[in-house]
Amino acid sequence: MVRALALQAKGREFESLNPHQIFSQKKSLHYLSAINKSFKPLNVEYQSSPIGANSHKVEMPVPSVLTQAKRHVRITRNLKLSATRKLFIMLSIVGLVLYTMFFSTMPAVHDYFHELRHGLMMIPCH
Amino acid sequence: MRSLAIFLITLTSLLGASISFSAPIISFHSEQDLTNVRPRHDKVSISLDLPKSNKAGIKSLRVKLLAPPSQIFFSTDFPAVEGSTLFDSVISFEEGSFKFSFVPPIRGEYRLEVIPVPVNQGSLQKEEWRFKIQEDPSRVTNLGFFLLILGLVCGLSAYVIGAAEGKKANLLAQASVLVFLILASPLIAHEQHSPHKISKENMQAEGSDGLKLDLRLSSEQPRVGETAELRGTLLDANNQLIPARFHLTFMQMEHDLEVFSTDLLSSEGQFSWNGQFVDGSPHRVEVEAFPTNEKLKPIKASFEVGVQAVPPPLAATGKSFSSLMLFAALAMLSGFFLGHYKQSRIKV
Repeated sequence: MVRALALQAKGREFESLNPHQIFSQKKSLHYLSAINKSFKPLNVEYQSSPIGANSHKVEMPVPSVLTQAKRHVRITRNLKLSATRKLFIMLSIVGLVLYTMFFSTMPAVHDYFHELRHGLMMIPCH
Repeated sequence: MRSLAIFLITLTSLLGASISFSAPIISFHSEQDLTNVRPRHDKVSISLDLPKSNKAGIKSLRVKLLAPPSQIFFSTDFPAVEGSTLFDSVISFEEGSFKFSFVPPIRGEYRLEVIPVPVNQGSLQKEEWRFKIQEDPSRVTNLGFFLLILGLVCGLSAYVIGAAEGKKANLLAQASVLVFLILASPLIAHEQHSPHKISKENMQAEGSDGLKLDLRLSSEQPRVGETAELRGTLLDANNQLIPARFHLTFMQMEHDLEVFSTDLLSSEGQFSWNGQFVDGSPHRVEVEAFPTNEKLKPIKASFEVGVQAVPPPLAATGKSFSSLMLFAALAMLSGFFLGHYKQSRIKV
């Protein structure tokens, strides 16, 4: 329902745009529809807590990691990207993972990978 | 004729003296085969001795140990230590021997400089020794395996991207990233570094004979890459300095490893040691004093000190990160072209 309202709003904005903006909006709508297709309707039951101090909070069930991964795969499968972009994205992910594991100074990450850093002979540590 | 002979004899003796002066006076000896020493694991024991035949009359030595300098392509795991002074102290050399043991923190060529100070005024020529410590073979193997995994992950992903267009390619590329993350996750963690300041409780010890051993460190929290001065005095019940031999031990508490030890002889009953703590983790400093007067019992004092870790310099991080990224990019490119070539052959 929320998603449908968002799309309607997007359509209204679309009418008042110039041709260049329409092109970019079309592109974004293409991605949006790809994402939309990949989503299966969720059977989310909105449970409000009993009347009291926390009555304004709405508890939503958190989808499992596997569900999220499946959605992620479905979204990406519907996207059309050139091989160069795919390679660039892939290299960025690898770079991000490597930097976080070996060069980040955040105590939690650093301490977890500390011994591995020292075990690889070329990773600078403190 | 006679004056010429005297001149020649004088010249010869002067030349002889200058030759013996420039020849090395102190001999360097290591107990271990330095080619098998692993950094951060094995101890190196070095002794500097004055041959008995040599009567140079050396009172003290200024001993300086320098860590290997930085390398161009790869950083070591302690970049803050690279090229720094591990210790620089003046020690008594009245017995004609000085020994110390240390665990080399990094691979590379260490430099030991010694400046003898003779009994008579003046100074002798500086002597220098260089010794090389090789990298631990297990760590080289670890790096090899890691690069193999990284190369396979990157190469396979790029191969799949290059070989096929469409749904399957995306799926496999993501799957390979997932495999990489899963491989990285179950690695063993270690204890968190907590700020650990100097504990002043045991810096003074009192023996049963009324002896007092007092230790002082120049810094509350020494830093990696910089030296800190440790001073110690041994006093009797009348507050008089007692001649003694001091045995110094530095323990790295995280791995319970003795990283440095030496014996310092002092006829004045006090010592000063200017050395570096090379790991940014808590250390325990232990000093045991053995009075020259054997009737007096040895006395021991110790304290713990937290060493301030230094974040790796940007240059060291840049070197290693760019090397890894270059390797990943090369693996991806080769994988991609391999896949692309296979795809074009199938189409033909």
